[in-house]
Amino acid sequence: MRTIVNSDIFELVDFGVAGGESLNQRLKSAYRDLDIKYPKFYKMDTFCKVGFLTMEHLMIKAPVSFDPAKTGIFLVNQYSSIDTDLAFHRSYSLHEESLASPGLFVYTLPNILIGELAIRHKITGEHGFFILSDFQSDFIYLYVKSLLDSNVLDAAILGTCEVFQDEVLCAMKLVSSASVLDESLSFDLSKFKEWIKKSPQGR
Amino acid sequence: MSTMEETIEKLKVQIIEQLNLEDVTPDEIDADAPLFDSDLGLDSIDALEIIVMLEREYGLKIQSKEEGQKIFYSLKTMAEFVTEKIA
Repeated sequence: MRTIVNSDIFELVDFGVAGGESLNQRLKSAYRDLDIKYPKFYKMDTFCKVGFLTMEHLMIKAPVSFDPAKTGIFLVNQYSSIDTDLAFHRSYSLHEESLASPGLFVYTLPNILIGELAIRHKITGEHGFFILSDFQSDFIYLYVKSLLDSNVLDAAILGTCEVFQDEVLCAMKLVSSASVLDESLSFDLSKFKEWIKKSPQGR
Repeated sequence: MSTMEETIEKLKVQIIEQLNLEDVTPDEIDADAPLFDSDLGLDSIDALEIIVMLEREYGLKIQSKEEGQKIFYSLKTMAEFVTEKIA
């Protein structure tokens, strides 16, 4: 599992699974390494755990302060919450006597990740989770730029999160209206896309 | 240990496991304290998980909201419900 975070420097945070450790165990270790107290983490599905941890690293490294009320969150992926969707399906279909888990069901939408991030960081600005056939940086660029240019938002967290079985890819970036949007936002989103394409875990 | 005490201890373990309360130990759960207004931080989804757990583990169904509120008041009231039904 790998994630990238930061505003200006793309930094790889390696949550790689090693030594027979499961992805879930690794995510728990990564959570404990952060030395924070947020018990809700343990209740999250893998998708939200990955996004949560990436956001925590982003917030630690974020070079600019931001107003949570004027900060948005915009995430894109191709496969929605498929890993959790399948886990939920398995939870009640493999054994007839099994009952569906409500705790798992609530995570069968990808935008729940945005909700978890917003609750954790008290972010209340506009947000959206887009399921697209490709990581369309131009679409996100125009969308977020219009919100920043019109002062609807002062800052935005942009990124992608994909989880399927042990394959994980998550990238997040904080941009603000103080950024040189015309160049840096476009450039950085392209970097996201390039990195995803080059990644052996990318699709 | 009485049947009631055994049921309380079993429910503690089952709830911790079912609700992924990884930072909580059975000893930290006060059986007499309100279950949903405590440091455990349980929410409505947790209540649904407990309902599913009771049905799966004990074959017990909560018949109404009013009954649920009484049964889920504390771990002790839940254990009384389980003990009474499976006795």
